This record gives sequence, structure tokens and C-alpha cells, in this order.
Amino acid sequence: MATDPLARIVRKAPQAIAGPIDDTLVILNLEAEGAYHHLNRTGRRVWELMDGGPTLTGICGALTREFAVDPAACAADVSAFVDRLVERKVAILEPSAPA
Amino acid sequence: MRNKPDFHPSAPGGTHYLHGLRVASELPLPGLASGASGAADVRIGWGRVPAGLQGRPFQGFKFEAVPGQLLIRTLRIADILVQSGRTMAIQPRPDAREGEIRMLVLGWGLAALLLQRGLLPLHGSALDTGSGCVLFCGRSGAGKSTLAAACLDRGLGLLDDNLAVVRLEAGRAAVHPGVPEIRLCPDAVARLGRPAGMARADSPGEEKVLLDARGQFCRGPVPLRGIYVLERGEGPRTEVAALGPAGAAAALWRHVFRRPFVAGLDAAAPLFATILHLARSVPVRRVRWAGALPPPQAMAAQLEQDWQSLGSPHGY
Repeated sequence: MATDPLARIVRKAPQAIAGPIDDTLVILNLEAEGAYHHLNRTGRRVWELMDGGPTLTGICGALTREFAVDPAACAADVSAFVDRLVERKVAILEPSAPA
Repeated sequence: MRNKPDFHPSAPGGTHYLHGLRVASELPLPGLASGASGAADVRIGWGRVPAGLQGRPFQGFKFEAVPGQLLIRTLRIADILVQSGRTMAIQPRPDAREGEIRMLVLGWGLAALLLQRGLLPLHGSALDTGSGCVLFCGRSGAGKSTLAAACLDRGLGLLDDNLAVVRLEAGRAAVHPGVPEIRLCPDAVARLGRPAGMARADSPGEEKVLLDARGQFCRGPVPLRGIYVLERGEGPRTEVAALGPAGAAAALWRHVFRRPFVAGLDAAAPLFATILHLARSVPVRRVRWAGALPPPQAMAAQLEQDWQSLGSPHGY
């Protein structure tokens, strides 16, 4: 049976450290010299929602409640955004928890 | 201190001011401001150090660490145990020279101690413009010291040549004085002319020479006016560009002195908070040039023109 990609769990990588600048967020990868990521307000909110290791579904659900966004578009954007964080090694994706 | 190694220092130790701390040292620290009154914030002395730290320490190149303790191990100079930002125990190697021990203590040892105290040590030169302090940060060989010496020739004061310790005091950034000397490579000496007071460095095989800067040394803290990050790049001219807060934070992180110590001491979070505060409140510039370092006098003049445009920090 195919696994729903939105059921995956996302966590902040242990080597990532983040701090606010006004309403944006700077993330450093402590193990990659010079690498930093500057997230806008929405990206910062996604990062905040990653506390506790939620599923992508959980993050999308929170965003659609907070912002007037189309659920399908939100799911696509969040998946792509999290994939970029994983590529840059500041986030980790895990398989969904067993039922 | 018990179980002292068999080492005979050249002179008695003393109590000194160093980066805003009162330091009582059995290791002679000539040239530092002395006579600090009151209880010592830091004690440096001779002693036996353990072969390793208890528990599961973080292992790095020539050091291991747990929160609150960092053990430096070198084959030829000394082992040093730095604890809780308050003490440094030095166990010298049999053939170590005092000057080499001093460099290790005032470099790696001091970096560990400052990080343990929650302070931000940047790898850079700190100079007093007369209306605030400017820092020149960069990797070894970037030209920080050469530029600092050129700035002294223009009448600036020296706070430190190698380690700029930034403190936040009532939310404002300031730099305290450190060591009143500049270490220069022989080719830098040639490019600067022949500064007075040159002396041979006191470590065998050490090519660098010392410029005694006590005549232009600051005695008290100076508010921070701006930070210049020196980098080799491309392009025909020396370029000075402002960094936004995110880029400034990343640049400052790259130039934390002895950055590998940070993970072992679990000091990343408070350090990053200080860096973000600086990135938001202090102008940070990137200075790039292609090829060999430009003439230091010309670069100093160009940067002086730039920092004069920054405005003065609070307190000036």
C-alpha cells in the first residue's frame, strides 16, 4: 500500500540553530560553514510548527486554519519547502508512525 | 595549586585586566594592564591536568569538552584544563617555552574560558577610531593584523589584534581591551615600512614579529561602531558592501574564535543570540579584493572613509 507523503514526520535537525530577525528567521547549519537560510514570515511559521515532530498533514492543517489558503496548494508548498530544508540538512523527514 | 609541574617561569605572575576580566595569573603576562584590584574573576596557574574528561566528552582536534570543562592537549607545548569560565590549569611539556605557553593560554585557553562565560570571542582585530570601535574579522592570513598596524599609523588605538571580545552591556555592544601587541609576518612589516618598537617573536621557529602597541593601547571599553569581514573574492578593486542581518549573522558565526569549541561546550544557543543582536544593531560590511592583499595604507584609508559614514554608536 502506498504511503501518504503527507503522513511523514518532520523534525528539526540537531545541527540547526535558528533565531528571529524582526518577523523573519535565520537558520544556521552548524556543521556547514557559511550555510544559512533566511525564512520569510510564512517559512518561519512552518519552522515553528515543526516543534515536537508533527506530520506534514499536521503542519498543513495548522496553516490552513491560520491563513486563508487552499489546502491542496498548501500541501504542495509545504512539501516542497520541507524538502528544501532536508536537502540543506536543517530538517529530517521520517516515515509516518505505524497505525 | 597542588601537584605543580616542574616549570620555572621567567618572572612572578600578577593580576591583570584582560577583556573586561580581572585575571590572576601564575604565568607571567608581560605587557598586559596590571594592578587590577578586587577579587579575581579568573585564575590561571600551574597544575596537573587529567588525561581525559569524565563521561562522554565531545572530541575535537587537540581538545575534548563537556559543558563547563574543556581540555586542550598539545604534544609539544602544554595541556590546559579550562573550567567554568573561572580557572585555567596549565601542565607544560618538558621542553615548552614560556612564550609558546603564553600564546596557547591567550589563544585557545582564553577562547574556551570566554565561551564558558557566555561571551562572544571573534577572530579579529579591534581598533578605536576615537568615536567607536571597529573590528576587522577574517581567517588567518586575511590581513587583519597588517590592516590593524596601518590603522595605528593613522592614529587609531588598539584594543586587541587577534581576539575581539564583544560584550552586550545594557543591550549595547562594546569591546574591552585585550593584549597590546600586533603580530606581523615579515612581508607585512616590509609593506608597512619599518614600524618602531619591533621585536622578534619569543617562540622558536615563529616567523612573526611583535609590534609593541602599548603607546596606542586603549585602557577601557569602547562601544562598537562597525564590523568589517575581510574575504578574498574577485574583481579588479577592493569592494566594501553592507551585509543584511541574515548574511551578517552567518558571517559573524564563521568568525567565532575557535568555533569548534562551541559544540563541545554546548554554547551555541546563547552565542547565536548575541550574534543575532549584533547583526540587527551593528553595521557589518564585507570587504573583498582579488589576488594579493591591497596596500594596507590604501585599504585603511578606504575603510576609514566608510566607517565615518556609519555614524557613532551610543556613548559618543
